[in-house]
Amino acid sequence: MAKKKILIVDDEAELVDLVKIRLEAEGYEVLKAFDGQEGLDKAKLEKPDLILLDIMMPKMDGYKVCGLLKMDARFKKIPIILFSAKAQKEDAELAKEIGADLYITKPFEASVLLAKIRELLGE
Amino acid sequence: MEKAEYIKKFEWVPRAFCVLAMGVTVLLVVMGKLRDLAVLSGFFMASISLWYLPEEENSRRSRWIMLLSALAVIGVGFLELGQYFLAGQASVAWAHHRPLIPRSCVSFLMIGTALIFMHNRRYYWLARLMIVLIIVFSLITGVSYVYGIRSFFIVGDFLDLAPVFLMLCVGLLFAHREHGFLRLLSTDTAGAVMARNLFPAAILMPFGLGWLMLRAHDTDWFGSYGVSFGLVLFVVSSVMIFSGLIWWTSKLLDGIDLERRYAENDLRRAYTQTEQLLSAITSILIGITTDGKVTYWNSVAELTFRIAPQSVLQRSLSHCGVELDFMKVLDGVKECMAKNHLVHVDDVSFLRPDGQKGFLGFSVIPIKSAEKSSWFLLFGAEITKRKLTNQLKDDFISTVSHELRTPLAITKEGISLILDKIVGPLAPKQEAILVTAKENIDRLARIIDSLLDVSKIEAGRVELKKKLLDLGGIVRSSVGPFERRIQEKGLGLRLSIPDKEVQVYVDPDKMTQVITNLMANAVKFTEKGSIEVTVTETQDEIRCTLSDSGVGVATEDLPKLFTKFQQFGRMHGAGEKGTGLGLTIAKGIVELHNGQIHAESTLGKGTTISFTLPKYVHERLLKESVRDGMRIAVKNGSKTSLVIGTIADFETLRRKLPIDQLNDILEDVRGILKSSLRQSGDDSFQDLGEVAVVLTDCGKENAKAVKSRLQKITAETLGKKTLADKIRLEFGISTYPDEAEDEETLIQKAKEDAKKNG
Repeated sequence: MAKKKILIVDDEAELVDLVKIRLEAEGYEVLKAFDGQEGLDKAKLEKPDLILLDIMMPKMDGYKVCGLLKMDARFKKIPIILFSAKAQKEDAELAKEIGADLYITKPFEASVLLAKIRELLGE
Repeated sequence: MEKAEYIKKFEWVPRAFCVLAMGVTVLLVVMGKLRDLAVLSGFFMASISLWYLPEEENSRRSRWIMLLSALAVIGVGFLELGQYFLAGQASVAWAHHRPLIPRSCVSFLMIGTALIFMHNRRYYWLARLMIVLIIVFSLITGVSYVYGIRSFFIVGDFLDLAPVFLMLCVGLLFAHREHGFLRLLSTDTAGAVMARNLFPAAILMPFGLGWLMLRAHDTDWFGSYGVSFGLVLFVVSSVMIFSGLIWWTSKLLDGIDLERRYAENDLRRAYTQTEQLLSAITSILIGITTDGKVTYWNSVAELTFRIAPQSVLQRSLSHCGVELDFMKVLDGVKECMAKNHLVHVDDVSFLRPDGQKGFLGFSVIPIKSAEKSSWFLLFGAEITKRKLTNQLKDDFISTVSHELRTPLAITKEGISLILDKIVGPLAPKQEAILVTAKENIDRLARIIDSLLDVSKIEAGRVELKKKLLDLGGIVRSSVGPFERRIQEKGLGLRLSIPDKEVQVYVDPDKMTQVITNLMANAVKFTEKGSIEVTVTETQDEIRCTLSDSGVGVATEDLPKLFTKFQQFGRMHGAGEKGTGLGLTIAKGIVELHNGQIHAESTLGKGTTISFTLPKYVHERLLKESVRDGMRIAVKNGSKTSLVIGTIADFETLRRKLPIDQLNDILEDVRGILKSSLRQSGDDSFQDLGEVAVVLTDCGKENAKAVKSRLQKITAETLGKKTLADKIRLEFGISTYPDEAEDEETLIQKAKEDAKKNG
């Protein structure tokens, strides 16, 4: 069975690298993007099985990337996990409204994140 | 003295004359001077009419008695007049006694007419004219008799009757509330003083001096100079007495006038001072009545809102184009009215002259007149700057928390990677150190969260999303996550929650946070024994109590328990460490729900923390929810609708069906309403016989759609339960701001609409 592709979009390169190590250890193929625009392009090009998306990013924020993908019939099936250091209740509500499948605040518990990813990928 | 009061005080005066008149009449009868039954009843009727005349707030009955008696008096006048004219003819057999002379008959006619017109503002002059004429008649006759002029005026019976007429007329002069003599008797106006001083002299002196002059003339006291000397005496005495009286009165009046002028001066000075003071005030000053009308509007208000006083005064604050969150202000006024003391209203948004959104802070001060607040003074100042500073502080904390979290996330993920041995093996000692490091990263994250919560609570920026919920349910689900820890520590856990739902109107997330924070403390500081959570319902509040048998807090530390970053017994805590903010947050949230939190503790024995919540009262909460909905409508420039469903013939139904069954049905209806609501912002309420839904951002048309859907679903559901023939629900709608400006009217309109549709 082919490896499932996960796209991580976050301007914090170090965090992306760390998460990549874990996800690869779990047997996923990991793609990286460092701003919203790049993330959107990569998502459209690569059609990943799941996207981990930061909110506060240069060029385009995570809400917009998420909104654009969820409005597009070709990509709206891709599960999106928004993860952000913005921990206010309103942020979580907004994420839900624009169609994100999950909202996780940073710092996150790696085991919880993994469990959710597996759940969203139907494993 | 108030006008009505002094009139009450002297109300006996006309009645005293009434009694006097009757007394004289009886005397006349006893002396055998009065034999005519008609005349007797005429006097009697006039007395009755006069008796009822001064009565405050004439009742219908006494008005009729007054009128009929007066008419009877006129009737007597006509009867006697008729007798007089027919008396010459022998055929009038019933005229068995001597008829009255015309003067007496006319007097009866006039006094009856005066009685009728006494209370008619337009014809009062007529009544007075009649009275004065009778008095003149009576006096001429009486004085002539006293002075011994027997030739002309003493003919006939009028002399005997004159005293009675006189009494009645004087009584009448005193009877009128506004114009009568009553006024002169009791006030201390210049006119009254003068009248009181001069009247007795004006009445008594001519009598006395006239008699003296006549005596001098008749008895030849002064020899041949008699007549002229009598006149001289009369003139000189008159001049002396009147001059003296006038001099004395004018001195009195002068005193009154001077006092008045001083008072006027003082008043003018006070007024100027007040004006100067008011104009020196650099705050917004608005006077407002209990029903929201503007009565005062100072220059600062004019400058701030760019609206001139003349376009605001005597108009409703919500209708004069002031760009202001007037709902909030009026809420403050209402609160002030209820509490009857100063109320502060903060963060009232308004449009600044430069077109920017600004904020005002108001103090609402009740201005009392006779114990009741009749109007309110709004003292306002712009607080935009302070607000912006607060906003900056909030933003700062929010940014800081964001900026702190990101590196924290990286650190945590790094440590987790090592701990999970993904990047290589780990010695047990290294692992232990990393576990501690990771735990403290979590702690730091929790502190940041709590700090954010506290700053939001302190800035008053927490928006509660209240729902009607079972407090027992919230307690159970909040306690759940702690069960494992409690078991691990070997503690006991007792929940005593009523079987019946304990309805509270709260924000579920926030309430969960309160119980979680309290539970976390209890579990953390208890090493043996048990933790008990109790929910009780009293007449006016709901209480939740958490007791533990833990380390407790020293009595002197209790007052500091709810302050920020206060940690007690830190050394005892193993495992998850606290933030020192948990109780502060709990207190803040409970108080936001209009509740109170209270702690008791004995060092070494345990701690009990209990908080109260206001009891769910349908009427009050419905109002609260409607008001919240109205506020949202004002904020969004949209509308808010209210749908109310009432059970038709609820009282009859209540007698027929057991109360439990009825409650179940209502619960079902509420369930239906709840499940068919459009969005989470909509609220539903249930009371005996009534359910209500507040639809925010929803105009009349949408509300109608919701209503018909509700009608359909409830009918179906009731049909399924075979209750359709027993229970009928009537729905009504009303919309803000189209139909009503305040929540009470809106609720009333919806109820009326429901009744109309039924």
